[in-house]
Amino acid sequence: MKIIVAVDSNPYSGHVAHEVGKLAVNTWADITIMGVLSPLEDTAKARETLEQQLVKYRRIILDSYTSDSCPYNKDAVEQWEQTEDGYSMAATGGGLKQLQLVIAKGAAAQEILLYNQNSESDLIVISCDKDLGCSWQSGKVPMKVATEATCSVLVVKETKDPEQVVCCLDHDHVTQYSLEMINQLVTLYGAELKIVGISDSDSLKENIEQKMQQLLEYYNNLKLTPWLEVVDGATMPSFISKESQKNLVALWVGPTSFLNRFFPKKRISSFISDSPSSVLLLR
Amino acid sequence: MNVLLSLGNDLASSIALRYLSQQAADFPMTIQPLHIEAEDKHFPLGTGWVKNTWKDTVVSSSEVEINNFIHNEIRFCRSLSPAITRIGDGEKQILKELQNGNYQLFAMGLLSSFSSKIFYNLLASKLITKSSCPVLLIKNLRDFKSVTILCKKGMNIKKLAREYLDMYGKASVDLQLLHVEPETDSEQVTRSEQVPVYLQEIGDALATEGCVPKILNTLTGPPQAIAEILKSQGMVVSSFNKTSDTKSPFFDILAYVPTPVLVFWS
Amino acid sequence: MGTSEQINILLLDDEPIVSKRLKPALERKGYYVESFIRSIDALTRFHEREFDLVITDLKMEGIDGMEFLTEVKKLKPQTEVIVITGFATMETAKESFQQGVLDFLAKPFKLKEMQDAVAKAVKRIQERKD
Repeated sequence: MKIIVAVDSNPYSGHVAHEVGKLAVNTWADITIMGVLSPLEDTAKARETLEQQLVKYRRIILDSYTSDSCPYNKDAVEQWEQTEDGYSMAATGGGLKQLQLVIAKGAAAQEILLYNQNSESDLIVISCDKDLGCSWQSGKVPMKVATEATCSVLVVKETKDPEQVVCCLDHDHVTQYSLEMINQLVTLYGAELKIVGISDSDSLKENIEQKMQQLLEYYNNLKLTPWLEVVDGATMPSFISKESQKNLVALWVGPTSFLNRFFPKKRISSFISDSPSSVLLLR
Repeated sequence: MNVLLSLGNDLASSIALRYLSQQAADFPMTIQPLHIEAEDKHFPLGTGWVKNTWKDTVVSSSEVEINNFIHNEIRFCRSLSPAITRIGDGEKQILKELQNGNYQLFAMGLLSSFSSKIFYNLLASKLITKSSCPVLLIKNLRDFKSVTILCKKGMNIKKLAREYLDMYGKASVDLQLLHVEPETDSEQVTRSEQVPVYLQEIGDALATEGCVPKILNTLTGPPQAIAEILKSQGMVVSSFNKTSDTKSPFFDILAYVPTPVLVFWS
Repeated sequence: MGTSEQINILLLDDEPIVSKRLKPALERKGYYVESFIRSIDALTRFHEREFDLVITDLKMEGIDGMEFLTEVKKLKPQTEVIVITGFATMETAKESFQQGVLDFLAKPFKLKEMQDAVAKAVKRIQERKD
């Protein structure tokens, strides 16, 4: 698994490093910690501050390993190098897995999306404030990344483990990829899994029901028993608002998802912004 | 115990079938699946020989289909009888079978829903109002290891406890007796070990029958939050008075709880 | 059947979709691949034939991946093993490495990630053969 951890200088980025640390201990993922310098603040001082922050977040991830079995090289970061494609990069080779630091220059969301596209990562982990709104460039960055990325995005709001991972999937197009992402998060948090089928005017479409049945079968074969629930499309916003109080809500936001009807991009942004707990957008 | 299980080729039925088979593995019961084919779905206009031949053909092909469905869901369950298939109106056919057969329980799958509307619509349906058989609504697949009897003041708890014992007295499950005081305006659930006298008496009565409740508690709080707490249970049991009970915060708990719900009628 | 120069890979995952995706991709790289969805069948085959590399899932019915890889390492310690898992935990990662696996890939992963891990294993196998 390849993960991009997108950070800025706000305190919540420290939380995201802790969260990724937990994920790293389980998955031994290749990790890139990425910061973006705005062209307006590209001074030597700002760059140095960001470099130090990234090094600090790297340390948090490395410190998640309490035993000696760490797949990353734990040596201190010695120097930053300029790459041909304009990134400033620090990596300590020699580990089984990669844990590298990258600084890009430009508009944050755009740079994160571009780096993701080129590195073909499986997950972007990004954070914003737990309370309403987000301080990252007027709150736009996490929302833009979450709505426009081609891979799954985990928006971390807090480090408290959720009780359930509530998956509101587009049951017509459930990818193996998205199921695998869900499975890792269910394992990470020791959480229960709930599969939500969305009905239209209280009627569950046959294809959605069939997909839920397949998922039940899939999880039963893995000796897991997910909760199943039916939610009418019209009540989805209040359902999500209730679930996000203490659970991790996973929304399918692929291009063909009919969830887009209930959660157009604008609504997804405000949902992420308002949600008191972390949100997983599945692709 | 003889159980009539309403069975279609759908997700709710799949859950119901698996849950009941799991119960049947723990204590004696006979499960009779009943599959209803809607009449208007298949039959051409006409009467007499043509219609009867059509009916026979549809019944036999539906029987094959539903027995295949059962076989796909569970490999073996010694308590399971071959499915009966009927043609016609679902409610009428189930009521007829309940009346003519010797059943102690009617079971059906009912997918857990965010809205309480579906649960209340079912309680108001002809199927429920005309049936005297207790109904088990199987909302999710859960391990049958713990049961909560949900009580409130004014409920005929003695009758409820007796009926529960008649059915599940031999089941080796952890039993919990809960007195519930739903509060729609509160935010959190509080649990107290102080219980009303009636609950203590019922607890003692159950104990003399060898069915000792492990917990006797009072829960106070919003219905949805109480339902959330009860989701760890393998089954939640309560009683509904068809003539006087209506939608209320107490029954909202049964509507919202995602585990199987057994409702007796008082 | 594979030739003597070819790298022989045994692929075991109880989810057929995984083998369906990985087998042709590895075959395109010139490797000889046999895939299995039941660990018992994979183990029987491992007793019959030599494989340079084993790619195995962990969570499976019957003999689970950890037992399987322990058996593989016991029978042929030189066989390289790559573990893939959909339910990764700190304990499984640690135990895998204690058993001597070469790499540990948590699902989901892109084909490229698996191809890189296999290339690393092949390099080691060839170095040893030389």
